[in-house]
Amino acid sequence: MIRKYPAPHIHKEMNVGLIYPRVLIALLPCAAAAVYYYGIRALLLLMTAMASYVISDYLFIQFVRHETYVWDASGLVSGAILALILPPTVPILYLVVGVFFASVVVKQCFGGVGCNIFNPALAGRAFLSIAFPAIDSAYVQPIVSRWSPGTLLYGPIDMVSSATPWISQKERVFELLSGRYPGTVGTTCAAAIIIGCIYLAVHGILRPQAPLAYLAVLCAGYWVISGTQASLFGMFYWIFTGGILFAAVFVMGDYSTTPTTNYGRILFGAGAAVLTLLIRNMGNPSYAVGFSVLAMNAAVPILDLYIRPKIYGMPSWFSGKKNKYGKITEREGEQV
Amino acid sequence: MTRTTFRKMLTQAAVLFLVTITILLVMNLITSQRLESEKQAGFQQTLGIVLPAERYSEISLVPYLEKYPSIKKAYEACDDGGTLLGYIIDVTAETETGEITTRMSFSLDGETLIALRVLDDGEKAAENEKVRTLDFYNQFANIRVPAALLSDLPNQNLTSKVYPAIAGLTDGTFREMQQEADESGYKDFVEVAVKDGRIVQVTWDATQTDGGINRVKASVDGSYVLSDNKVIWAAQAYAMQNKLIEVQDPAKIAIKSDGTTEVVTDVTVSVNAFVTLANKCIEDSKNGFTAASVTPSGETPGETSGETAGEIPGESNPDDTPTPTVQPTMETTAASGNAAEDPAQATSEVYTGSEDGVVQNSENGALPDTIDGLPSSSIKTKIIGVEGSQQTSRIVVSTVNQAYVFLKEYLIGEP
Amino acid sequence: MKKLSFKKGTLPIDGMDFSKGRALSQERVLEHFTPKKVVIPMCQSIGTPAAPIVRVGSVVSIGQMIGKPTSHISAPVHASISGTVTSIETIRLPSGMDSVAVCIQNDLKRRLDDSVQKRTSPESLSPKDLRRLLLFSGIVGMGGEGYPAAAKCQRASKAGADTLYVNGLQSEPYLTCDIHLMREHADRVIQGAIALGSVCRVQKIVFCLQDKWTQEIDTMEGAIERFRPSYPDRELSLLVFKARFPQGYDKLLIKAIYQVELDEDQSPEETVKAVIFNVSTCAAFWEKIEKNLPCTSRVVTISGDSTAQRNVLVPVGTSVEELLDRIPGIGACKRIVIGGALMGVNITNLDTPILKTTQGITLIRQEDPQRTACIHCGSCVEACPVGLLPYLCNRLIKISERDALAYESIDKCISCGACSYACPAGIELSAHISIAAHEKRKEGGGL
Repeated sequence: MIRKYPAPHIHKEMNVGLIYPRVLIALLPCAAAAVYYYGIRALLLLMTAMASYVISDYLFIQFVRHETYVWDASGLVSGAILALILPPTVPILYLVVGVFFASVVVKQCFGGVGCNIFNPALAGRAFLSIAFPAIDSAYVQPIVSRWSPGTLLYGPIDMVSSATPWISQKERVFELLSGRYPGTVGTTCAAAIIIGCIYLAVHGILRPQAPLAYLAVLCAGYWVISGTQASLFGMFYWIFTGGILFAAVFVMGDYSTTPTTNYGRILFGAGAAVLTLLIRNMGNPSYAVGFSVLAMNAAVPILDLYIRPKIYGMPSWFSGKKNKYGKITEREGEQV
Repeated sequence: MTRTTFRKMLTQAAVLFLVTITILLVMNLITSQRLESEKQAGFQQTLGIVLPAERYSEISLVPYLEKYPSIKKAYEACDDGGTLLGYIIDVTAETETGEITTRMSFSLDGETLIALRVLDDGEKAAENEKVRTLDFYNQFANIRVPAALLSDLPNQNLTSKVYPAIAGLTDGTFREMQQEADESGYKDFVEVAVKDGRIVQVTWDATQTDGGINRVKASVDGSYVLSDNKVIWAAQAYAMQNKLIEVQDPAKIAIKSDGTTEVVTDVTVSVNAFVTLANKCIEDSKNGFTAASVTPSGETPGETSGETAGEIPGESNPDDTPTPTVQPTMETTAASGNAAEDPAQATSEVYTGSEDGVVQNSENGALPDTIDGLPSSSIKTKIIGVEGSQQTSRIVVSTVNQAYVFLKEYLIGEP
Repeated sequence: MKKLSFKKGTLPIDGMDFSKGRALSQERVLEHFTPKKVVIPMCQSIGTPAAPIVRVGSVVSIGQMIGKPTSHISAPVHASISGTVTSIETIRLPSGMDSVAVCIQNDLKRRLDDSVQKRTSPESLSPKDLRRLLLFSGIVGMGGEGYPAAAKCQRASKAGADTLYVNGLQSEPYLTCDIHLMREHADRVIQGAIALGSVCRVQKIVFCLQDKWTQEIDTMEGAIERFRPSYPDRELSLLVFKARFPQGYDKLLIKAIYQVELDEDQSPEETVKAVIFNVSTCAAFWEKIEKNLPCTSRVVTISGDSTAQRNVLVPVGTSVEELLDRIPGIGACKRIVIGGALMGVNITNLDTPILKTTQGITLIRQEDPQRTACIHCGSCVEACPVGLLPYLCNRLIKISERDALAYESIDKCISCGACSYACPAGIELSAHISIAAHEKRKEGGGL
């Protein structure tokens, strides 16, 4: 009672120590689905990714930056996301290399927690796709050979060679929802992602603007592109496969790499959706989501700079002249 | 984080986990049935052409992956009641232009190939088109395996190649006998029957000089036993006989300098006598002499001129005095030896057991002991290759054999 | 009569429900607190402080003037208890200013000054009389602003205001003093407001309330209905606002009602012809009219994030220590804040007196959140009512990037504390930005 504190004296309950564990809990359904389909292998991948992420964070902060390492669960979250967007047959060595890249190069070298421009998990995934292209074709059928120790080392055996799921566009709603098709470890089960999304929304961690804008523009794009062949089921097929739902919830909801204002987030989601549409239809579909979000991440500082709320007493951004910071220097002819 | 919040989050995590697992289990139950029936329908379409059945289930190839890298998939076909109908195996093999995959169905014991199809890979369509004909497939319908390409196999297994007969043969039966007995007391004789200008029957036997039973009978009885031989003399003689009927010319059988031949199965004795006598018979046939007009002792009733001198065509004229038959035997032996060697050095008609590049296993390169790892004696069916795609046909046949071997091992391993 | 809820320009903390789990006290009768001694500072309002007119040793009674106004914008100070003046000394107020204060020892006799008498016909007072009464009542803006009410009314009438807003939006968490007044003494509030309206020559009177105080809304509506026939020339109405944090801040109130944004130097009376008074101010004025009792005591809420909330009628000048000692149920707490939890001042010296502008004492038991690096979440942007980017301002302040900071308009900061409240990383955004804003305003306005 001696020290004098500045106002305010109360605080919202939500703080960083709660945000990242809650995101981890929201990832738990996806992890559960991963373990359900791919057995020990998924568990091994998750544990390795998370542990190596934390270790590489710690090593960098202790020995390169010479600061004390403050534990927070953001490393676990990024590691888990990276493990969940890889196929189950990815070799452990590649995973660890990707984690080191994501942690050290993408996150720590840019400033650490909160300062990174690019989403570390997605950047790590992109790095792995480019450096080791073989992993993009290493998708297997789920629920086969889950528990045999052989899968621990080499991953499941039954290879399927295409990244797009084997289910054709028939009325397979339950397969879509439950994720019973070849794909990445954790992003196939739409039901799990939706559960995680509801959990995050209830606790106020997920800001709905970016995910909703992303999905809305994607749906609109689907109807435009498919034209006469569009159907409701086709739209759900389009959205639920390819990791789009997962990206919408866990990547668009990541704080550090998305804009801070509401309009900024909407633009971010819409831009990412447009890029995803382009890449998915005309380019390599397995790169669609990752690279489009990474591109929009690069645009986030500009979105932050120029899209601001209206300041009390100042004219809005759209009137008057702007200086190099995007702010108004003149108002109705007089110098501000 | 306070303890209460931590506990709250833990309970939330547990709840989410349980909810997800429940949803997954429920959905998988719902989807399993449909997936299964769709899978079966898919199988019906793809596997049904080789073996129609009600249900197909995949066999795990994990224990066999190292040993049989070319076996890509294997299925069991069952009917409604669950009884096995057969096995379906997919094999992939490398050709020069790429890969080729065949799908074949086997009977329960793995001895019969029910049907075969070459799968359409899409890329190598042009090359595969030639072997994907119904004619080619029909050759594989319900055959005993293992199989081999016709051109891979040695002479006596050839069923389809028709050797031309020697020109100028007259119909009839011709008989020639050795002048002297060999050390066992047998005198060989050969009878050749010609009909419509072709040799249709050959007999090779030997009489005992002291009046005992013929060698064929003796070997069957067991009184005439060959040393170091598993096959009795009668069988060997039989094999030689059939071979001659096939090739129509003793010169076409490659004979080594010591008198043995390697192109006829099971024949290990010296066949010089047979070749000499057979040639003589053929000369007789050319000249129109029948067995009746030739006596074993070489006496010639009436016309004696051309009988024994006929083996070297064109050399003798009817006006010459007949040379003694004893000499000719030696000479004919030598001559026939020469004659045998010459053909051995190759006209293109002589079969030495190899054609466009099949790997030989034997040292002197004359006959493959094994085809695709299986002994030649086990080959039970011969497949005619497709014109212009010999290599691909061979590879298709080798896939059949690989599947056969795999299935054999799989069946042994089954509980 | 009842209008729709307004929404503000931006929304800060949404509908904070601070009474979660605890029932708000709904006492009907206030406890009257009797301190042993009071320390009444002379500087309790904006403008020049009053000058003491008593000496050490004088015997004073309740309602006796002990400090006279020294300028146009100054309010007189009256004794809140009866007793003897023990000393006149300089004390430091929580806002950091020094002020001369009169310390009075209570003789527990509750002697009222002779001038304090019930008036026979308060309705017959003319506006001129009312203005005189207001001038000598010592009433200041009791919502925390502290502008002398008389000066404000003069300004309003000179500017030609036509609407008077009674600010009952108590948006600071845990405080309910105005709410109590509106619920229990709605008559006083309404009549006081009408009287003030007469002084300002204003016909239209609007009462502003938050939508979560439903019972108070009903009470006020009923009271308005009752009074409407008595004042046919006045227009009485009620406005309901959404429950957001700095809803009661005058500039934001004007923006919500008129959609006009005022500059630093502009006053609401000039621009939109509206004058704003607090509920307590109106009630105090009616007390003066009715009983000729000047502003000597006020309702103070004692509450906190883990304390049961109560309202007490406290004489001005009571020390916080005495107040907290006598009130049962105050457990150990980490901080004592005079004022609201979000904008109040943390006091270390418990001898601080309760002023006319003190709305309550908040006891904080909550731990400070863990301080981490900024995670760029944008909660502060969402929270700021003025439209700043607090995370960016904080970052620029930290690295002393003056040029870029010059364009961020941090002089608009109203120090509401919403950004710090919302920040998950526990960064003291409001403190840093307020300091920088104060410096900038001192340097020379604009930008």
